[in-house]
Amino acid sequence: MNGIHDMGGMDGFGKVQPQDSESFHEDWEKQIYVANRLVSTQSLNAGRSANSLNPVDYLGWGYFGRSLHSLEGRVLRSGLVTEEELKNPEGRLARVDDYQAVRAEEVEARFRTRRGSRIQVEVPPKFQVGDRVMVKNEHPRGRTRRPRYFRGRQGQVQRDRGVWPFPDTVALGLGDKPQHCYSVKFTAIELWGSRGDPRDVVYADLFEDYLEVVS
Amino acid sequence: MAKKKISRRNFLATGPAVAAGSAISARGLTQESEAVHGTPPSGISLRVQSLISVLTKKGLLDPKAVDALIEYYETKIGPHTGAQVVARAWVDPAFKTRLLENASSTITELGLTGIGNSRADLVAVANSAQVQNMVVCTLCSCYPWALLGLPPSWYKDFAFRSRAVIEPRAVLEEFGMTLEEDVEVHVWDSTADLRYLVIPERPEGTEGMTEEELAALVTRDSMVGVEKLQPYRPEGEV
Repeated sequence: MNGIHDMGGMDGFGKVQPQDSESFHEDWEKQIYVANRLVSTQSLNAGRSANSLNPVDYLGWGYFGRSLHSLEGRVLRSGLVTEEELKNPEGRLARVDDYQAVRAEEVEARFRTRRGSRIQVEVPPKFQVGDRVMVKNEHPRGRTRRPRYFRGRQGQVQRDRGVWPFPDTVALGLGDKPQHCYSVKFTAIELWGSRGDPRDVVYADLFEDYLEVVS
Repeated sequence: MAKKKISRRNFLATGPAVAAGSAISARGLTQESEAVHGTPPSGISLRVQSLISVLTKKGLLDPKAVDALIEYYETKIGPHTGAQVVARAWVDPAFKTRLLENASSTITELGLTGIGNSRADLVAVANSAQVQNMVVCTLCSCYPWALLGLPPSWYKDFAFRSRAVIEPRAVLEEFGMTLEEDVEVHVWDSTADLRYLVIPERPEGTEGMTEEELAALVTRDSMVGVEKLQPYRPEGEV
């Protein structure tokens, strides 16, 4: 979707704060960040929500406010928790069967073990290193990993990153649609016109379905 | 570079930063402002406590697991891991070549068996006298956290996410970096499941140092590509 989260190239957010270098500022931020990682609703098909927060709240709630939004949304949609229970946490809480919470002893192994999402299937690549490609000018309403500032722009394939699930269909529950992802190089001039510096380039990892060959 | 711990509360309490931000944005001259970022609604801390309490009572969340994961994030992972990879790349050119070709498999040589559950592959990119690499995630805040720990606040802030790709040189200046005239800036936008580690240039004056001593010189910010490591001067020398 053409959401507020797609920020590349926007103006108006002020200067970077290099001295603001801690990950957390307050205890609740740690709590919600970690809880959001520990409570899995993956098998319950609760979907994603981070990108669908309305733009005003997205900007206003901050990074960890968005963790809260994500977790609340997921546990509600999956039916693990009801609105009523959230409104009245001291009231009666319904039991949840067949849910195994992550235990403290499991935490480290679970969060250290690599579960690459790269797919080990042979899919012939449509593009080769060196190809000139254009990012298709499409504006899907669902989740996509094709930032607006690349759409309609031309670049050159630098590397084939292998075969991965396609985020756009995964988010819609339409399956993995395994395909190659490519590292594509764009000149700053191509992306930003006269505001780009002729010395600079931007690289992005783009899925095959986002790209078409430039003839 | 000394990193002063500063909390967002302090920003708010001290006023000028945010006040300047809003005042200036009202005039439409936001580039001059110190920082523009969201402030969560008051009461958000209670709302978090309430959600966590419900999840805990329902057996969906184990408070001990919460503590264990916080401890993991705060003490076990961090830039010291990435620094180990960089130091090895500095002393072993063949390792560096392999690393640039396939970082995920090459870091296993250091006993780093995975890059966490980020479900991503790792990519290393090397700075040189002509190239300064810099990493960003414009869509969210993807970050090679298994090698660098959790991202700093500035990395997640709107200012960095929006500007790193359109005016990387201005952003680097705000980090105190001055680039030579002939240096190219290569910005890596983490749009898919690849996570980027910048291999900074080995600083001058470090000849003969051990790998361990070298690793101690590598900063987090240099591995995100927003800091250049300064020539090493033994203590006492000016």
